[in-house]
Amino acid sequence: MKSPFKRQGEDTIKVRINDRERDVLSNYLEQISNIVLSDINLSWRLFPPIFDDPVRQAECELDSQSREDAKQFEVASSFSVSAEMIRRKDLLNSVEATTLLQDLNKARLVLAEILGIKDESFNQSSLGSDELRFIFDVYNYLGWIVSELIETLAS
Amino acid sequence: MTALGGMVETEERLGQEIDSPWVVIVWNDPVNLMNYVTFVLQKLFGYSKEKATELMLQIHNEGKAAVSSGSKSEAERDVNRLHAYGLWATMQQDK
Repeated sequence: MKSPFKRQGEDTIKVRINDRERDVLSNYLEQISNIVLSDINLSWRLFPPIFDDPVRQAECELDSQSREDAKQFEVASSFSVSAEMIRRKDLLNSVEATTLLQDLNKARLVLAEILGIKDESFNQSSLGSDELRFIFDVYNYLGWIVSELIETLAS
Repeated sequence: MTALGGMVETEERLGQEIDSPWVVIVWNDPVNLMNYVTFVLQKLFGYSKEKATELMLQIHNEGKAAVSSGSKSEAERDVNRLHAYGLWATMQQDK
């Protein structure tokens, strides 16, 4: 299968995804942006604790509630920017490609929460509906895109 | 004397707490791809591919690995950068 990305010069990555697939990817990112803004239970994995020690973490959370809200908004905005980027741009510089990589990976983290992927023992046969099986396909598809983008960035 | 001794002890403990470096730990999770974790460690810390792969395998096999250390503010910066990439990182004081 042809890679969706190809390096073209030192700071340029060519996007080789057809229009229909671009729309689909872009829509996934927009939907996940909405989830991040509306449902912290599904997006908590994007905002993990900073401290190992629960007491220090509790103190940190008390001090930084407004910063946490800002982070949530910042992440959602980045998803929207990446959605627009994947829909319209044929060439990405390395900063844009890295931002896209981060957002695609974060999208997988949100989907994993929806799917209930908690550890390595997750078994896809446990998915109880067509909707969840579809989300699992999207999760795997994003994993493939992430892998291909890493390969291209590292090439 | 006891009180003074206690104060000295407390000051010593505080001094140790301030001086002790902080360690940044990345935890294993079932979502982030192995090549993604390697890529992020190379990008953020400038590690060679070999070093980053070694750390990634330690995270994968042992559940966690210390990826950097330094002052509290340096560790906090590193944790935030790792979180920006979606990695599960925490910091703790080295004792």
